[in-house]
Amino acid sequence: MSAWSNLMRQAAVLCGLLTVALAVVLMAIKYQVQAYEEELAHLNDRIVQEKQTIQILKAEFSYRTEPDRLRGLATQYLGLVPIEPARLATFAGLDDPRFDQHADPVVGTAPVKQRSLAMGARR
Amino acid sequence: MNGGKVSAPAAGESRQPASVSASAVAAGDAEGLRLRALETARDRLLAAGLVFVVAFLICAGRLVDLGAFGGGSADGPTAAVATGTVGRGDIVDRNGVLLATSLPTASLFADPKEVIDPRAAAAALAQVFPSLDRNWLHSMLTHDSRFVWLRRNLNPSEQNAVNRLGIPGLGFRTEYRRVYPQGRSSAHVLGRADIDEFGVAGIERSFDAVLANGETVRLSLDMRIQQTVRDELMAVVREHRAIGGAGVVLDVATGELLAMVSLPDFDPNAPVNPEDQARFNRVSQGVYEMGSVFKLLTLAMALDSGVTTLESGYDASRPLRIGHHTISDYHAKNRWLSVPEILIHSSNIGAALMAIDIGSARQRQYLQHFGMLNTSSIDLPVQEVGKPLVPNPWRDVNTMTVGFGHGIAVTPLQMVAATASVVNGGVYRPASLLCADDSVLAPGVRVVSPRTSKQMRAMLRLVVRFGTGMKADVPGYNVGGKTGTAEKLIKGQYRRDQRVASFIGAFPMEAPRYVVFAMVDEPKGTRKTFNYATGGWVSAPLVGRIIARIAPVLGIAPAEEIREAKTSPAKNAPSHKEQMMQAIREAIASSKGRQLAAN
Repeated sequence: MSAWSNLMRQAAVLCGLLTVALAVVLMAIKYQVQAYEEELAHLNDRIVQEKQTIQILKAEFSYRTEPDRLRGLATQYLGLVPIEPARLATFAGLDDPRFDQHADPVVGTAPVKQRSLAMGARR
Repeated sequence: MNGGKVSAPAAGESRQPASVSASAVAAGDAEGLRLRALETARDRLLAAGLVFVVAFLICAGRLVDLGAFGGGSADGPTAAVATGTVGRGDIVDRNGVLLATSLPTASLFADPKEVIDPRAAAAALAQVFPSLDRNWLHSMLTHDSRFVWLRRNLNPSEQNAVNRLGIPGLGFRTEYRRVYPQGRSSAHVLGRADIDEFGVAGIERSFDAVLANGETVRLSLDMRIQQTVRDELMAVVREHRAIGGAGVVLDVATGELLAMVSLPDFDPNAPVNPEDQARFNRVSQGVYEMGSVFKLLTLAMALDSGVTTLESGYDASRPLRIGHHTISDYHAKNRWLSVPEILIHSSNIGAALMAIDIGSARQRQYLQHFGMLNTSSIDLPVQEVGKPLVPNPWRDVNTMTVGFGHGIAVTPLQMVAATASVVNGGVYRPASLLCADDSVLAPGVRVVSPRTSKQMRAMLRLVVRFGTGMKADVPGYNVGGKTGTAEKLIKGQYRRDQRVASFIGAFPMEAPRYVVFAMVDEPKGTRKTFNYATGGWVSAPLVGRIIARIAPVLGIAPAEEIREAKTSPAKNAPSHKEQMMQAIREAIASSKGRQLAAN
């Protein structure tokens, strides 16, 4: 009988302790969630910012690589010109005996010429 | 509570001596009452406790349910993660090059109720923004509301300057501004979005719903091709002091437009001037009497319907008179001409006679199939697509003039799509501005037979080898095409000095991949062109230059023939005319046989 009541008392104490412990844990979790929410909002802000930056950089890249602009720069600094169809060659075409026959006198010897043809735009 | 229950028998024990002693009865009664009240209180406590136990059990059960099994509506509030693009969607070309995007900018607003000294504030702001009127600023700052825009889309230095003024009641809002990083080159196609990012012209308008949703629109344009076409066209327009020009490159297999250039053009990033004539899109909006380029359609109809063959001919020895109309030839040969020669020398008389043979009803039917009689279904706002002008009523004389491209006005876009169907094996596909990689290709409509298409390819090649289109030739690329020079009809009069010079070509002619069209509006002759301002002198060489530049970019290797073309002609070579006759015979022979006419 007294053992039973003793048990009950212990259970009540345990329950009380549990309640306090749960309350503490709950509060801790609540604060943690709040912190996470703040972090999330911050991260979302940063994502938007990064996206805007990417957008700006993409626009700038497009602006700077505009073909007209590149052509102007290439002509001004590199002396490049558009490829003429006659300057295109395939590897199959390199074995063609006619190839050397009509070699362009602008470029020196035949091997050099062949390499430059395969590469395209070199002058 | 249980403790109470356990102690109850003990209380009963103590009750028994009470019945023994009479003096103790009264006290025992009082004691009994007290005990009963205690018992009642215990029972009530027990009942209330049970209710709480049940309630706590329900709470615990729910907790376990939510925590362990994720039941109920536990998936309610989840982390809101920023997704998608920022602002209005982008427009990119077929290779992903950015053509239009939205960038964040600061916009300046004011809360007039919080502005302390509107006069001083207006004066200070007018210093930062010289274009803003001081009185206007003052009226805005004293406006009877809590929000007025002062200036939208500031650049960072302007924003900094306003911040430094430190005027209370002013604030910034992040707004997106439409930016076109590639500038003028595709301004007509892209159109425009207004300050609130509503599409009001071009693709911006026709795909407004998609773009407003933040999605990207991928166009069929290739900016490398677009810029090349624009570059070459601009040089010619300048050289011939023309009022404008148009250039188009179209993929014959899919109907995709790789380039669509209209000159003059405008800067889409600059403030809008709606009166600006440059906003007019000559490719999709302008309708022109195409002149001789139409003859290729006439010949295709004649061959396809069987009213004529490549071996037939027509008498072009003297001008045709119908009522008070006279049809004469520009490059007059004044003799009987074979069918290939009619195209090569661009004979109006021959084309008119051919059109009569085709007949009015059949001509209209073919033109309908070629998409010439209806407004084209391009992905641009309807306001920016021209409606063709067709003869009404369609008399015999109209049939004849339409045969050589007069009395009917169509957009360059229609002409390009029709030509593509003639050379691609005979299947018509409407021109499109959207990249076909993203969508299933709509089945085309057969308009002429594969055999007719093959014959037409041979004929168009002959025009460039021996006829009016010789200057469009590019060694190695087997260009074929047709020139056209049309006098403009101004106030009912055809003007000899105001013409539209055009050339429509395709390459490589043995298996065409692209149609290239160039049109120069009102070119003036120069010393270099011996004062000629015709399609053959102005537009054909332009198309040749465009093809020479874009073919390597498009990954088309030149034919082997290129090396032979470079050798100087042999001493005893046959004359131009003999060569031409020989080529015509070969073309006819090969179009009969199975072998394709390569050149």
